[in-house]
Amino acid sequence: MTQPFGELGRFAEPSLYILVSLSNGPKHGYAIMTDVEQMTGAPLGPGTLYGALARLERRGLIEALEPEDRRRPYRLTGAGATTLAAQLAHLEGFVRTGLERLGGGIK
Amino acid sequence: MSRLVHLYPRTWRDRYEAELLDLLEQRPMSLRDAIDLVRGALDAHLHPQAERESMPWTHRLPGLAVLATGLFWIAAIATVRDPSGTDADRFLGLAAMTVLLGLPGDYLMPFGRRIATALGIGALGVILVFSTPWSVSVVVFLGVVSLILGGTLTMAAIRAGIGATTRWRLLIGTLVAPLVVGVVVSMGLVDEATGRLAVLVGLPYGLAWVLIGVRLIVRGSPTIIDPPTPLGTGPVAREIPA
Repeated sequence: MTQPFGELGRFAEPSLYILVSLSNGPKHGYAIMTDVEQMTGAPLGPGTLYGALARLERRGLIEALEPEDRRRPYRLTGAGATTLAAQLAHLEGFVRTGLERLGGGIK
Repeated sequence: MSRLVHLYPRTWRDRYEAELLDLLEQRPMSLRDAIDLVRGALDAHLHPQAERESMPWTHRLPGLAVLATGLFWIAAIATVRDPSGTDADRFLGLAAMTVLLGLPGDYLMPFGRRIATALGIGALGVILVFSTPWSVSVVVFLGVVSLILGGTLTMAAIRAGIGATTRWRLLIGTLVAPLVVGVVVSMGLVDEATGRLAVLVGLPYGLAWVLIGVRLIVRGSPTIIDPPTPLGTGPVAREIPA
């Protein structure tokens, strides 16, 4: 993971999942959790989810909206969208390189 | 298992507890979730993310009022020990009235303010019991009631954004006037016979107020004069580039 995800430690991967989850609109914690589980097949623990949310919010990559009862939706900020796009582009290049090398090795 | 949320630092809980509890109620919690929560709590202590926002100066006021109460009270006890002292009455009255300065805006609210409210009621009880003429007690009681009700209404008016001049007139009328009346009325409330009891009971009582005051000053304590904090005012989200 590259900056700013690298500094997030064990929260780097969950943070990326959360940003992707929020990329199609605001969601509250439980909706993010179920969405991530559907995307990745692995459940996101509540402590990990809120650890990552706190980090993303502090870095200005997401922002909290008005709470609906006790649920507080989050949405991607402009900085968050830019960061996510850069991160996905980086991963896309990484995946492409890996697949090319794997294909070459098989030959 | 939702009690595990209490393992998180207070500042973190102030910000995220409600929504995390809501989340936990929506799905059965596994042992893995419990372990994850404990890890999260440990991380929140080691790497605090939810820092307290810069505190408005108004959040210090209740703590200052409480601290002043404790100091006034201790000064009163010290004066009671002096046979020739006569200032104790004034100090006690001042302490009681100072307590009440914080009541309308803060102590009627939940949590730690319940302790302060109980202590405040105790202070009133002491003042009223030691008021030998019952007519004086009635006057003090009416002053206190007017202060609490009037103060609360004034604070609500401030929060509602009613004109500044009216607000300050209301504030002065409902807070300062009872204070002045209370100090005058409380003159002569304590006699020498109650001096020993006052020292035994009153000193720890005053120290309790000092400690609570310091705690409230450090932590800050929102009052109803503070406007609600707007949320969702950060940068505007935009579409992810294709």
